[in-house]
Amino acid sequence: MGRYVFRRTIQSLFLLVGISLLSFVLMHLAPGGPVTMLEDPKMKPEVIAEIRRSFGLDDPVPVQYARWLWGVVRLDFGRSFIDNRPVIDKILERVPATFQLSLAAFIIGLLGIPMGIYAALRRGSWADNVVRVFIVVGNAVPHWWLGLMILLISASTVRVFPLGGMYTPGQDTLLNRFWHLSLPALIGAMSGWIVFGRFLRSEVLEILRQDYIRTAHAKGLNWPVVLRRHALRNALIPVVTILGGSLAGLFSGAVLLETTFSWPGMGRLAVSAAFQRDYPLLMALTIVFSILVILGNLLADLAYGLVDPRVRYD
Amino acid sequence: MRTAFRSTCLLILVVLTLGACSGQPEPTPAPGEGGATRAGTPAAGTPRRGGTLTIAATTDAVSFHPYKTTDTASGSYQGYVFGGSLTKRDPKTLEIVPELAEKWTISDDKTTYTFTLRDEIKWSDGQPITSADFVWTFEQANKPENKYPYRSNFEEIVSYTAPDPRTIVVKIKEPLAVGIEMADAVTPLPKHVWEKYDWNDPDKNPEILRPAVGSGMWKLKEWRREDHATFEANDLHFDGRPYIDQLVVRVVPSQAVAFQMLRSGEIDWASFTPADYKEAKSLPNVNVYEWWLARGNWSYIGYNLRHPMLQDIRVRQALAQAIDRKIIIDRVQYGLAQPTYSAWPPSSWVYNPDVPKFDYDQRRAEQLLDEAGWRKGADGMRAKDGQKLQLKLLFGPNTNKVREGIATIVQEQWRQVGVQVEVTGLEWGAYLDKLTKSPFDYDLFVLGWLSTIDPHWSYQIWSEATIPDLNAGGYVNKKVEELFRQGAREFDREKRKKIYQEIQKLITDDLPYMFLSVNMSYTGVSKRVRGIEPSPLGIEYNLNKWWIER
Repeated sequence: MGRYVFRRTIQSLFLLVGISLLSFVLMHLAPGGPVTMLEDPKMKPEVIAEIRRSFGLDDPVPVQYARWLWGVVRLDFGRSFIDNRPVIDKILERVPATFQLSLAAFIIGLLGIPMGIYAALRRGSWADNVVRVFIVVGNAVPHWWLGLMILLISASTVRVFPLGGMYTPGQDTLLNRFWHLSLPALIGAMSGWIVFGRFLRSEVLEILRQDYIRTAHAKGLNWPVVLRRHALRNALIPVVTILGGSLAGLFSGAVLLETTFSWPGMGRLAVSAAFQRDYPLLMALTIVFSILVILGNLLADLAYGLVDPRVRYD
Repeated sequence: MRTAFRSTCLLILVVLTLGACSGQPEPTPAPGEGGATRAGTPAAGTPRRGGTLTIAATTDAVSFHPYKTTDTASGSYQGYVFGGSLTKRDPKTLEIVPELAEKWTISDDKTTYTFTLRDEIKWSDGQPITSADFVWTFEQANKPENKYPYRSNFEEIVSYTAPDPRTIVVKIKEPLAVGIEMADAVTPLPKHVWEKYDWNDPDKNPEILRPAVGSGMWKLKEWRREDHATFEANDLHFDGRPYIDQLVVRVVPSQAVAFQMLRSGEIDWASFTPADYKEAKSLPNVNVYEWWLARGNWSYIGYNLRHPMLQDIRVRQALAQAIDRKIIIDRVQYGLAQPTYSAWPPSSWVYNPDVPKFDYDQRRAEQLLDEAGWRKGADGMRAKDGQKLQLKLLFGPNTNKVREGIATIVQEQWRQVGVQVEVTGLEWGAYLDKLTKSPFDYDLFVLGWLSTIDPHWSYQIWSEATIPDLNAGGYVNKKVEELFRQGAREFDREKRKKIYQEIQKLITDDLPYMFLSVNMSYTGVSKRVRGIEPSPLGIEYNLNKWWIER
């Protein structure tokens, strides 16, 4: 186990370097660099040249990348091109907002597990049909679009949800925060409902057809015991593998969710950084999101070994 | 911030993010057609103190440092906290009138401006605003190592001194009609607060991101980035404390969301796309205010004059005459614009109504193309010497529905005269890059300018020196440049006007741009907000006179 974790960590480091290199090159290949975005028509060419020089953009891209990487090794992600603040400060001040939204969406999304189990156990019933339709439609409709539609309806008819933000300025109460969190968290949770619901439904249906379930029945065990001990326990094992992935997905999905709901988190910061060509900030965010995805997957792999005794780490 | 905004020539690329809807609204008559502004309701009633004004912004500020940023959102925030210059424009006459200065004198040789500060003007902490604040700010901003992006504003200034606490003497290099605008190049920062800190580093200067002391109408109370900023009234503001207690700026992802928030009453003030104009007018809780901005906001299609095909004036004229501006204004801008044919909008005091108007005339357009040797083939498309008349038209940013609409309509209109056009929309950074960098792989581009009140500052977009940045198409006319030089040195208003009218004629004859339309300005404000009086400067100039009806 220890060796496995060590090996995966080393692999992840190489993966991170690869991601960072690719991102760095892509950013520099994109037309319109950071100076273009800062540029005002009145700025003189020598001022623009000085800005370029101060950003280190005069150097060849490999040199810029090496300098950036050396900074990262020393945990220095650099300063924002836009406001000259350390990018790590800019990211850290957004973490609570993103964490709040992602965690809420993740927890609510776990409701997809009972939803899928219930649909499987009531196969063919109206409840099962509702779940299946919901899964198909929910999969087809972009969630940010759905969020926008709900916002529009909410604005033009009954004002069930606020139109964005973390709280109403001047009314920073827990209740007000919950009100603002409700819609983005529900929309964010949709992917959890769909993924877990679909997965659990098919998994439980599959397990209920297994011989050992029939055996358990034949032994005289009652239905709730068969279900709890033999069906659900086995059905939940593979769920662990997708838990890590969905947690990571929530953080990366924050880009759309936060933009739609004016949520001041890391996702929105990433969008601003991309539009402003704020390379240091964008690179740091890329690394943060990459670490979250890698970590989510690693944790899922480790958890899989813990819950399924057949899995061994070599 | 106003100084940067004004004295840096105010030539800003206009980003119009506009949408689509049906029906024609009834906007304010254009200047010269019976009015320049119209309010939703009269600003009647008795002003009272209190309340919160919540407004929407689609981008958040970057910093409160007035000498470090170039973006509009930061400029707004800085204006709230550090508002105030020596002079300002009168909202009605547009003449330059005193603001922080009570008066000024100009030397006989018109190179020395002596400003006398108003008595009893104070920073928000109660300390007096003195000439030392101005001089210190000027000195800091003018240091090369401090990298003020608009340091070139100070190029004409020979010396900036303060012989006593209420007097500022600014000497400029040569007598210029815009000398006072050049002399009034500084919005002061509180020396007694800022000199303790680093000018550049926000880690070493808390005032850069959390200014505690200012001169503007508002003081920063709270700033939660990308979410909102809350400002409270400055009791010591030199023009009187605002009636409204608090100003909250909510950062929203788009104008569409801002409009929905305005409709639901979640915010009090928002700009919105022309597509929402008609609906906004019908909202029971919203007043729509309209005005024709003195600094007219106009759209055009620029020619890439490096392209041999477009160096033929007949081709440029033909393309211009194949465009029906009325269709563009009706279908894309929902009637919230008027056609324009000149380098300055009709709201400008130098506007020349007698420039050649290349109005829609399809037959004439076809005739011109025939004369230029571009003949129609069997497929209806034109060609010359085996080369087809195919053009690349760029627009950007690609989220801008108005520019997209213009590009699409002209593509169809040019197709009707046998010109094939490939339209490409680009993201803003990519668009600027494409326009201003070699190999200049485009033929035409859709863009807009926000012009200036004084016509002098427009010289930059017609100057050879600004190719390829401001003058992306590469237009060169030495006579135009000489006339700009003359105009800057002429003090007689009527003579100046004639010079700029001559410039307009020359430019229109050369046709480096197809001038399309001047946009009407409008905004929606909750009916509970009173005291708004639109002027050619907009509505925000008297924010301290607004009040909330309860």
